[in-house]
Amino acid sequence: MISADAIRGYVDVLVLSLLRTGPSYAYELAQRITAISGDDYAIKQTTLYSAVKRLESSELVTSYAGVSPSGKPRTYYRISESGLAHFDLKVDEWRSTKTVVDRFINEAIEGATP
Amino acid sequence: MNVIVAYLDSMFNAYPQTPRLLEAKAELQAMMEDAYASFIAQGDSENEAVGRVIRDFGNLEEVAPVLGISADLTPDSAPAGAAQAPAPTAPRHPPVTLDEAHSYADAQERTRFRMTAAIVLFVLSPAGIVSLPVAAKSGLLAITDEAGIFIGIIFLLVLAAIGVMLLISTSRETAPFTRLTESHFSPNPVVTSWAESLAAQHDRPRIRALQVAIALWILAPIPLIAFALLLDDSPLGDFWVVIGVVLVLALVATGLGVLLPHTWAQTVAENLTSGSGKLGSIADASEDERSIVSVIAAFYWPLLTAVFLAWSFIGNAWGTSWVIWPVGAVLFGAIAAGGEAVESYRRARRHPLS
Repeated sequence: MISADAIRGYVDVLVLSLLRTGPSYAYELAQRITAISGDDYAIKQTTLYSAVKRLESSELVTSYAGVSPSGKPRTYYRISESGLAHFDLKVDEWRSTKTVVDRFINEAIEGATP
Repeated sequence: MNVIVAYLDSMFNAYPQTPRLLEAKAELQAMMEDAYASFIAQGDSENEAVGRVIRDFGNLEEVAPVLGISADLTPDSAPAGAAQAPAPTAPRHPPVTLDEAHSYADAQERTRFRMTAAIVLFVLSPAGIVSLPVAAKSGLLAITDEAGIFIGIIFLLVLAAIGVMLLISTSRETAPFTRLTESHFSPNPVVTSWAESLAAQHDRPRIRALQVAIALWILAPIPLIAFALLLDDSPLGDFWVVIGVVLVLALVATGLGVLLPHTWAQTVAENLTSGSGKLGSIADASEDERSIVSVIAAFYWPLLTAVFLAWSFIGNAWGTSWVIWPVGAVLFGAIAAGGEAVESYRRARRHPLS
């Protein structure tokens, strides 16, 4: 189980990656994050909501009022052009972050084994 | 579902109701309702679904920056007062956790029959010492008075010993939760919502049990009064009066046996919602309880006196009618306990789950 602290900087990336495939609403996003993460990460509702609102205020996503199939009013979110660009940027950042961290970890492990 | 709304209300009510805050509340509520519906569709009980939804809520501090309420949520940086509730003067205890509350409720549910059996045995324990000597004197049992008393005492001690053993075994299981039963914790809105939904879920059988129990307690003295008035002339009159006393004990015990296994959820909710910060409401509760018991006492004791005088004069039974007082006292104890239960029900009705 990944702690909320460990993944904090990347919740925005998870949300953007899901919105790339099409508009969605908060509960569905939470469901998909939990489904894709399996038992490794269960997102809290407040975490998701604050991520979505943060993205909205930086204009990386836009929201519009919609209606659920059962007729309930619902806020849908759609990724913006700058959101798509930001996602690519974050993906590159993640790849290089991962490479650097891996380099330290591998070195430590190789150094420890004779 | 109401519990979810109540939970969100309790989380958000402390802050100025800005449009942004109300929007957040509405959207979080929609998320929680969707989650609730999907848990129900997966086969969860209402109670389990509410518990899971509330556990997945997270915490409001995380949303604070996007709502612009961070200053209100961090008491250290906030100016005193504002939207923050006044700080409790009592020493702060660590808040109760949901896991702790679950284990406490499990322990209460697991031990409820043992606890009930112990109390029923205590109430029944004097039956032997009351009835056997009289049965012996009337010649119904081929033993002497003294043997009757002796067997009666043995009976009392054995029942009391079994009762004590049962209580010790239950207290071993509930001992880890003394901090909860003694209110040495801060209430936690998640636990409060969960405990209230638990109590609400078990309320209907509890009220039904309470009705049956109160009916039994009110009817309890009828056989005694009937035997005393109608069979006074019979050669076995004394014996029948004693049987009446034993029946009073048996009916009181039956009432307790019906009621007590259904009160555990209410007990859990009362203990979990009254943390160290809520001393005021506890004082209110005892005041209310006093009032209903004193109303019962106002007609109970005069009625008992009237029965005593009527029985003694009409039946010329001054030698035996005294038993009405110890029996009456035991019965009053039971009625007072029932009154307390009624009062807690009325309190629950006064503060319904929105």
